[in-house]
Amino acid sequence: MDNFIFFLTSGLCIGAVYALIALGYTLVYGIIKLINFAHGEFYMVGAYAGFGIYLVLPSGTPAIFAIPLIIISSGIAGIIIAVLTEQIAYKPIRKSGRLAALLTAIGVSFLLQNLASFINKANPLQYSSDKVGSIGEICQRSVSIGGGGIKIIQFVYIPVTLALTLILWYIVMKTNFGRAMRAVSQDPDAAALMGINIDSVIRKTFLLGGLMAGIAGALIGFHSVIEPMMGFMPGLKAFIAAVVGGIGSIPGAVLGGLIIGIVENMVLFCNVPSGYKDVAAFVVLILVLLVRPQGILGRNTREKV
Amino acid sequence: MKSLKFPFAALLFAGICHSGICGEIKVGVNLPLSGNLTSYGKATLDGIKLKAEEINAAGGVNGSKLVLIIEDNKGDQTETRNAYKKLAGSDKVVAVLGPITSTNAIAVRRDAAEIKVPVISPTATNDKVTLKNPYMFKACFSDSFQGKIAANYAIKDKGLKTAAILIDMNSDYSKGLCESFKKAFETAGGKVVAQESYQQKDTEFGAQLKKIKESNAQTLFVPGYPPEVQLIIKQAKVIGYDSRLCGADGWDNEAVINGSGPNVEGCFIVGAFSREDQRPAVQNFVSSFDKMYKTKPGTFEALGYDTVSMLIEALKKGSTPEAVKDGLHAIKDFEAVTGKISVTSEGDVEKNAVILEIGKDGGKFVGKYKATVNP
Amino acid sequence: MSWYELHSALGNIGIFAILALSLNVICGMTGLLQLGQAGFFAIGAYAAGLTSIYLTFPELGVLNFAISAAAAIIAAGIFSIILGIPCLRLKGDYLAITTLGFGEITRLVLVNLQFPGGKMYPGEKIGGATGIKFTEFPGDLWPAYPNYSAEFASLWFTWMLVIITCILLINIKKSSFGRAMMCIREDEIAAQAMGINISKYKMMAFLLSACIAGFAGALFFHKELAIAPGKFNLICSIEILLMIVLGGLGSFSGALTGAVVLGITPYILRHVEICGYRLGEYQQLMYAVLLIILIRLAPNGIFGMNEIPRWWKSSVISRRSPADGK
Repeated sequence: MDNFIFFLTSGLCIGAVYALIALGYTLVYGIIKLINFAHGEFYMVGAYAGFGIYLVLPSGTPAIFAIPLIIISSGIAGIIIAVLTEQIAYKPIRKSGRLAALLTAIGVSFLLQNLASFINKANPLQYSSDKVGSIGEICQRSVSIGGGGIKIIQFVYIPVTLALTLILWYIVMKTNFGRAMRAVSQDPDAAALMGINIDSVIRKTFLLGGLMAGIAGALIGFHSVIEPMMGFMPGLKAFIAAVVGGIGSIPGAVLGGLIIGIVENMVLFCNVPSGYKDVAAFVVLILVLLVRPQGILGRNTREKV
Repeated sequence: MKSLKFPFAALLFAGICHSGICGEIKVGVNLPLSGNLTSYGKATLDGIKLKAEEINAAGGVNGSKLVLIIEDNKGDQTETRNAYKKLAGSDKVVAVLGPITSTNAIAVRRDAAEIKVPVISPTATNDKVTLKNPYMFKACFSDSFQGKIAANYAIKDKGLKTAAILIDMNSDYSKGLCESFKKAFETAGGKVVAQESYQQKDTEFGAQLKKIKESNAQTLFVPGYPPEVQLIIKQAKVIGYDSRLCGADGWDNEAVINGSGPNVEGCFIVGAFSREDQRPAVQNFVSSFDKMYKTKPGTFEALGYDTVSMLIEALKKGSTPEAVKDGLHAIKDFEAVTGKISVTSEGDVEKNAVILEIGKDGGKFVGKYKATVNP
Repeated sequence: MSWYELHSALGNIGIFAILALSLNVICGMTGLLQLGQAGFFAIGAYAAGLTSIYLTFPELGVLNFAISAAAAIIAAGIFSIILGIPCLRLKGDYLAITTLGFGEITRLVLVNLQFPGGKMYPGEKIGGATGIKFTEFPGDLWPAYPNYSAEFASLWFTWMLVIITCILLINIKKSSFGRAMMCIREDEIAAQAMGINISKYKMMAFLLSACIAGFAGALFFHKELAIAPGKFNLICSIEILLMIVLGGLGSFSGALTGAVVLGITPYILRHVEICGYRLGEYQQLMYAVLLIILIRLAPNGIFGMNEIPRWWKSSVISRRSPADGK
């Protein structure tokens, strides 16, 4: 029972992060039907940016100010990189078809990974935990749950994700801008005819997605290593989460994220060798695509001849 | 087969050229100078260069100067083989120094047997590197020896009866050490109560550490490299595992000793070299290294240095690859920086190892020299 | 650049050319975006490797290669059927992601799976993250396991196979079999309306593509003699895709060209220096930029869907004067 609680808690915490990244995927796919392979890299950029701000802050800054500052700057970095990517890479090929968009996204992903390798020669970075009371040290503090230690900072993920999801949901459902987003995702041409500025809507969608990814990057960066490839696997798993929950659906993304996080950890709980942990997410993906391809909360769109 | 005619011809030319007529002896260097093993490769190269310069300044070997031909194998198996084939086949070197990892050294075994130019790996430790292959040599002790030392120290000197092992699945070195530690530990009366594994580039070890904690092992042996080792040490504390960890020569560098946080205190490791060893050979090496590079040498530098020393010793028998091979096999009780070296018929070295315990020295952690263990 | 490096490079390019051809069958001809080709490559390589370790008969000599190649093809074929059946129902992006998932699962499973050592490594387990190596075992066993890599990984053999595969596939493209697959690419519903059994042809596309990739895997094992799961990752699949996109999706000669261009470029870059910066270090970066620019400026690749480039075709056609008649 103890073990179960430990793995369940771990699963919920990491699931919240996957959910945050998945929200970005689902927003972008909903709007322009693009699987933004580079989304995981937005997360990575956010983490690096947060670390950069940390290096610049005077060393005596109390953590209570530094941590929110880092989170905000990571979010801003995520926004910047997302909007830049959209303007430079995705906008020109918007009319060129699916394969072009997919390959461009992959290209951007590789590009960002390689650019990041020039920072510190691709050696992993970590918040230094030498001084008591420093950010690094606080984020390493753990509490024992079910026989294993879980870092306290991981408990922050769930409320942050919930808060951001609620804000996002509010934006999409209750504001004019949200209505514009939904219109573009249903039928871009009709939306344009109605006077909606498609470019602006798409740009702002990327902005929101980038914000989520950047914040997720900062949160993980606090207690784990920051390195150029850190976004690859979480990005992939978050995409799977978005698909599992129903791509295009906001609650679906959150649900998917939590499911993937919990399933991964349950696999460990069942004593499967830990190397197979990553396989779990892909197996879930294939199962869901076979049984219910539109995802748990997705809408079933029929193809008309 | 046409691919063998070329190296035989090369050997013929090598024989003519390297009997001192040309005045220089070409030595191949096959190290990772880019990629994730770069720091180890560069460190080993520094040691190699130091000895090569020293011997050349003293007039060379039999009047001929050593010329290093350096190839970057990028830490990759295919590149290692390509580099070896180029050095041995077209550059016609008398011997190839490197590669440094067991995995890459194992990859060139067959090529070495076919092209017949000796390979001396300064730092590889896996037993399979030299197994039944007269052209493969190691300058460092074998994993079977290392594992035994670590296990015996744990049981006899520290009185630990149960152990857990956490291995790096991507590394033959790690797997080999695990086997030898386990065998030695259980032979000496201990019990290995848990064995877990991780992948290179993993950053979270919570699941494995939790199982190890539950096994109540009195120590955790982690035969791995940075950057995973530092994370494991830190996360062991987080998960609540308080017993001391121990490791092998993969820990023997600054990144691990000073980059793992306070939890590293009290851990012990097996090493090949300690700067504090008061033997004159060691102290001379340390001061010459300091003079040339303005920094203190570590294990990789020392082993690189010793590899060239071994080669020079072997060159006294002649400057063809075959003569070097025989010369290397004939090395007995050779005083080197990392200990007294005798090369076995298998191509391994019998030498001593050191145990280092990590403690505080001023504000930093250092590996404190504890003991020398002879084979 | 040394001869050995070049030799090894050309061999690798040949093997990747075969992979590009195989991917073109399913992506270019049938229009199904498959991102898991590295998985079939890996399965073929491992099948060949394991067969060489368990089932080598020194008396048979060269036939041992044929045995391991056959094992590779059969293994890849079986897995392609396993993957193909669920994929029949999926379209577009979902298919891409499922095949990507397959590729990654294959890699992850191979990283963790250990195989019994057989006669070569008695009492030990092989496999796992360090892969299968033909070079580890004691030297005195070597006569029992002759090293055929010199013959079967030699350049002439590999490139002969490349040409044969290319010609074979171009002929398939021109046959009714190929036309049916191209029909599926253009419009699945119209194809069904024309009476084409799309499930059957999709399955055959998967099978053909995977078998060829498996064979490439066998060649790869015999060349390298040491394979590890790390090389068979998503990046590998994407590189193969990039080759056929560069050459033109749907064109086999294009796939070949793309493979050669993309294969030779890193080796050239490695030896070029501009202003003191060794270009080789920036190779991956340049690939990424190249990909983005290529998609933007030349989305149809060099050859388009034809076996000869459009510009050649159109220049030949325009050379005829109207007086010649049609």
